[in-house]
Amino acid sequence: MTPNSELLKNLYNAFNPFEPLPAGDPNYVDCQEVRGDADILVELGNRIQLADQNTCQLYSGHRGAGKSTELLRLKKYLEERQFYVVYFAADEEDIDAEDAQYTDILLACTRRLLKDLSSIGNPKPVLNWLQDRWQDLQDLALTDMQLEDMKAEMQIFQFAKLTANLRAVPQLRQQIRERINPHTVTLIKVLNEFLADVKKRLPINKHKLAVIVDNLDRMVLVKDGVHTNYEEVFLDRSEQLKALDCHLIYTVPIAMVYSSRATDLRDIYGDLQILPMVMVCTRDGNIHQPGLDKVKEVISRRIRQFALDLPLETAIFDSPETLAKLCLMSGGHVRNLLLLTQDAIGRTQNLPISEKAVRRAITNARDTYRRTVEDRQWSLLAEVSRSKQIINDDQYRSLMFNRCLLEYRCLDIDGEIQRWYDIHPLIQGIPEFKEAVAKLL
Amino acid sequence: MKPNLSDWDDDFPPDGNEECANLITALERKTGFGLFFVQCTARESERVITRVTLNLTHKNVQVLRLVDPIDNLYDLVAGLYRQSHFDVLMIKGLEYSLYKYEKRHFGEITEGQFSNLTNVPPILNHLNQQRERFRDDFPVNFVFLLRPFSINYLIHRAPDFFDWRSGFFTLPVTPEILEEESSRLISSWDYESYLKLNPEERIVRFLEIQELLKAADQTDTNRANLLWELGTILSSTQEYEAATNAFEAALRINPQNPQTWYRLGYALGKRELHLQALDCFQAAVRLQPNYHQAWFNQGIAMYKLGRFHEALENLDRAIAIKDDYFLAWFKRGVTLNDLERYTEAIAAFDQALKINPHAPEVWYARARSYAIQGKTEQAWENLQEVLRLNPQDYTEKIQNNPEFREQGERK
Repeated sequence: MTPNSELLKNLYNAFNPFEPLPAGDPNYVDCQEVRGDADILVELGNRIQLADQNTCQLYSGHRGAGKSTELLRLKKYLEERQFYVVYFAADEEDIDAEDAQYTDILLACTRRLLKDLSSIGNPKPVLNWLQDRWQDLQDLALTDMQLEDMKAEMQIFQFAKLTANLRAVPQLRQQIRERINPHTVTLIKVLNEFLADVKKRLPINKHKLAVIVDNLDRMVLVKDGVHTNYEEVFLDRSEQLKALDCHLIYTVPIAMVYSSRATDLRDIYGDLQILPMVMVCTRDGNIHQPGLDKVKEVISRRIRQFALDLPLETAIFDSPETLAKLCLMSGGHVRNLLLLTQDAIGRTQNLPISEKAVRRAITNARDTYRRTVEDRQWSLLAEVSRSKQIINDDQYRSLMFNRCLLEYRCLDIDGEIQRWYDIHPLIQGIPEFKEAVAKLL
Repeated sequence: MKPNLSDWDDDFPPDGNEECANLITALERKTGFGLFFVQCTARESERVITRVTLNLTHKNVQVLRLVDPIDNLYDLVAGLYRQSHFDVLMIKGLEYSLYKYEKRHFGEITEGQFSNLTNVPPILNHLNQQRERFRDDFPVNFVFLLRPFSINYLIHRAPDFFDWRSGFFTLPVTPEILEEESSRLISSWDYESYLKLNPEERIVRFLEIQELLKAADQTDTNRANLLWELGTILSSTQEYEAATNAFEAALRINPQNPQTWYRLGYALGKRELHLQALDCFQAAVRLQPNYHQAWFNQGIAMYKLGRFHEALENLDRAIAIKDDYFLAWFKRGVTLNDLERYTEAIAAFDQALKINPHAPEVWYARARSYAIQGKTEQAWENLQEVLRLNPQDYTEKIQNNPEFREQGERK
């Protein structure tokens, strides 16, 4: 046991990459200014609050950028403004991110709404619908129980069993979809009757209803010929996606936002909200001090809870330079930052965290990026590193999806929002990338 | 101010000892749920397991060694967790679940080819889906010990699962391990041993060889030998184009190996590239004049090119080295038939039948030699032997061959 082994242990565990922060968490750092003024409360929250009719908005961003954390903030914000909010993570419900279709999303919503709201409103219309379908569906719920004889709670439970099979039993998935598909319109109709009743009976101080469906952006792209599952869900079925009688926010895969269908998406849903990276470098490659400071703050908040009296830049890290480089190498991507920091702490036996430990962590993360990029993609990356722009072309889609390209946003001198793109800074040092850059000349 | 990051662009990898120590430190510190990945060879993984078990004395470390493909890890883990409330679970052998799924042609299994978007191995699907359940139900550290191939698979096809890692440790392949692994794979195996492998075993071997070929410190001798093995595996699955590439690469390193020339020629022949095959067999016998199989196959290539006289010379060379060379006698007879030298052909078939009297193809060819000469009686005797040995394959063939019309009528 070294003197600070207990402290190192605490620090190590403070950088877990797999949990979004709950609203109001002391570790939350408001990065709005350095994300080009992107504020979910203003951009999504305001629009919902001001609208006199239902809204349906899409929210997107890189995996691990902090979307769930932001959506949980939005939930709290809306709740404080007389909204009743149903928030759920699609893939923690019944949706299989590897193979999701519209019907699955509708069923997951149905189940979740029944679960959260049937104590408020009367779910009878939905349960009647289910009873009418039951003859047809009961074998897929893997049950021989008769629905008529059950209480409402049991009926809801049976429905949950059916939708659970969507995920648990891939062989049944297609059958469930086929049998539900012809009835989605009537299902939405009865859901809306249910929601109408719920809205009449909302708790005191709640007047409006909003549903946030998170983690739909984890849907893995599946291509069937030229058609993708993203298009099926967000374009072909957009009417139904928007049809629920409440305010809706869906997360959408960032690759869809940058596909050749991006314009269609904007036509249907209006402006999409994308959570950009924290801008640690400007478009012309200079350090952006405010952004860098924010990223340092993300680290210092998590460290401060255990080591209030240790100066970050000399006692936790061996030099201000080591910390700065770690922050810059994250590209302003929060989960990358947490991962790199956790890895560097893991490679440290005694504080301070040395340059060597951080470089080891970086080497390690860089290797993952090297393996992510396919051979033909190096030249695309080289071009973007120069132009700082991408076009809505499917070639860039997977590079956005796997975070080799990052989106930044800033305000120009006229206060206009400027979006720009760059390669992940870890890619800079990869030999294949350097070669591709050399070929550009 | 421009950031000065260029000095950090160079990689700074740790050595294996350090990396293993880092893993142990991380496991010591991590509380609650954690995902760790270790990239190493199958053999090294056992050393890692031993080291971790010996060093983490105050934690309950369990090992799950998978030897078969699985579709569901959660239930397996849940069962183990009920038996013993471990703190760390080291999981080895997840690759088997990927190999089973790997239905693409071998030649295409290379890093960076994950373009098949239509589906994903069920186990990765499962991990992606059940990620939250693992996190919420098991407050323990999972250590996945995987080979580079599988890590790539995770990066591409289970990105969300991999993204939750608390650590990823790469054990560099040391020259000793490289040598040990290479000599294990550079076998005395012949083509037949490869034929006996089941598809998964073949994929394992294929991937192991590929990984060793990529190692920076690999010696040229090993590299050439490994390429030879690779080409042989590919030939055993009839992927002759990929096999050709492997043998050609081996010859670029060592052009003095007659076996490589021979195998390359064989793969080219299978692709009907007989002229090129011929060059290879000639190179093989230049390097090893008593290489009877190479003489024989040179003869076959000549025959396929319609150069019957030269074919005959080559077959004779093969027979001169090995006088009980059944195939060479048989093909000698066939070639002589084509040259309309029937008496000599029959003599050659006689030799072949002395070595193996149970070969219907020889009796059949000898029947032809007689039939074409109008010696229907002898032809018929030979055909009867053919039909006795293999009626299924030959009855129709005989009926449809106009050379045997008279015999057919007699029958």
